[in-house]
Amino acid sequence: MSIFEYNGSALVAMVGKNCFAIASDRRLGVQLQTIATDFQRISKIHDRLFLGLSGLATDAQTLYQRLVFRHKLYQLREERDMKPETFANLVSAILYEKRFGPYFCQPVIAGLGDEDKPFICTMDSIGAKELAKDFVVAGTASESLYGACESMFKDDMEPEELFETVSQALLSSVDRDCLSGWGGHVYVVTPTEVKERILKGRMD
Amino acid sequence: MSRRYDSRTTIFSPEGRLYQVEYAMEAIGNAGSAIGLLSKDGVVLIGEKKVTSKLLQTSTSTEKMYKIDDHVACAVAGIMSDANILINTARVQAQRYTFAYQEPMPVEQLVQSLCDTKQGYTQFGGLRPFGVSFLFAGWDKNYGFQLYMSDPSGNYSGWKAAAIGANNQAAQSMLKQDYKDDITREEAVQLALKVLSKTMDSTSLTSEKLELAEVFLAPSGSVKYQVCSPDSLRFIMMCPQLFINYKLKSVAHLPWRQMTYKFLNTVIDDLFALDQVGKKRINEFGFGGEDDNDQTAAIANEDDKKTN
Repeated sequence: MSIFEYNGSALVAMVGKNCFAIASDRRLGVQLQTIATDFQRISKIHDRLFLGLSGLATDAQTLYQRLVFRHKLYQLREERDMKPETFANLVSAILYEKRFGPYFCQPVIAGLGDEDKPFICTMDSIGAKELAKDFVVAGTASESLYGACESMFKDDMEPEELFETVSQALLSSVDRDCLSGWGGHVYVVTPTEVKERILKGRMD
Repeated sequence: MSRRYDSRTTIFSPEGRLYQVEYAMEAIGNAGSAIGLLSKDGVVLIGEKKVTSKLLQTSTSTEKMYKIDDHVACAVAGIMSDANILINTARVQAQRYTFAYQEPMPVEQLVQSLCDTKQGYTQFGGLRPFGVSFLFAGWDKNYGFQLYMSDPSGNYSGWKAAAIGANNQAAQSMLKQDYKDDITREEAVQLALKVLSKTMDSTSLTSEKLELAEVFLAPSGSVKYQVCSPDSLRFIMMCPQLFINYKLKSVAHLPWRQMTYKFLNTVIDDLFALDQVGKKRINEFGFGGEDDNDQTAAIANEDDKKTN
């Protein structure tokens, strides 16, 4: 079994009109056994920047802690928050540092950049960035997620419609993946507020 | 003073002194002063800015107050370039602790860690000591609010009230007289301003020359570090300053009319500034119940009567 499928995960980020949504599943497993149904895969870096980490949970936690370290120092020195594009470059550099002994994670970065323009990107475990204008996916359910997002995505969705789209895409995709699921966790971020919602799906 | 034992930091003099460390402290004695006060519900740090040329590019960054981590801040006195290095070191040390233990670094440990770095420069390496003194203000869940003072030798200790920089002896003795154990944050601000204005070299205290920072707990329970905006500072300072000026008779030579005019001008300017500050500040100052406030009001009334 691949190391990336050890814990199971599903992550998706989608762009809307001056907003973005980032969603994950809630299962944490050890191969076929489920050990937690409330696992947080998405973390806030600052009010306008969220990071989701799929893959091996221990690497995701360590990578997140290292990124908080770097971001905190950046904030203290620059006296401002990091832009999403800059943060994505930082993540990419940190992952490439471990080119020959990598972190087994696939990050999804979503944030609001200058002039509240939404920014999303994903990268592989050694830092190859993939910028997209519409949506990015990661995790064991990524193939189903690609299909679901491609068919459900529309340009310039308002936050409420975006939430519905992301939730439907996530829930239908994790249903087809035994290693992810047990509900969903969705963040919809606009320039003024962050709405965090828990989805109830098939609890298996 | 024996010149033969001056040049190396790493040797003692026959009297058992480390001259380079003492010379570093001399350098700090010429720098802008900073005062720290521990109160029941927060720590107050106030600093005197030495560099106040009109030509200076205004920026939001501070000259004397620096944030080390979310729960610790410091005031600096001495050589700024040395201070920048140490502040960066302290920031990295705090983050390294958080990375390892996933919780904020206890304040004393942070101070100790930085002082260990400073001590290294007094014992080995052949490099000169850092010419900076710090006042660290912070909060942690073990000991609550704390104030620490550290100097170039690497010594540190916890204080209820401390002063560094120029005229720190005078400030320290004034603090010893006026400090009470259970002062509130607002009273601490007033006391700090009073002490600083009395010990500062320049005769008039303006908000451009001061920096005020407070470390306190927000209602949500998280630690907040706030640097006072120049507008709110102007109002808070106004009354103590006029009172002090009157007492010192530095404005006694001014005709009463000019004095009143100046007073009224400041009041009007600051009332406008206050609008942006918000109700909280007005209440604290207006209901401060400080002797300064009452006496100044009495003086102002006398001035008005005499002019009229």
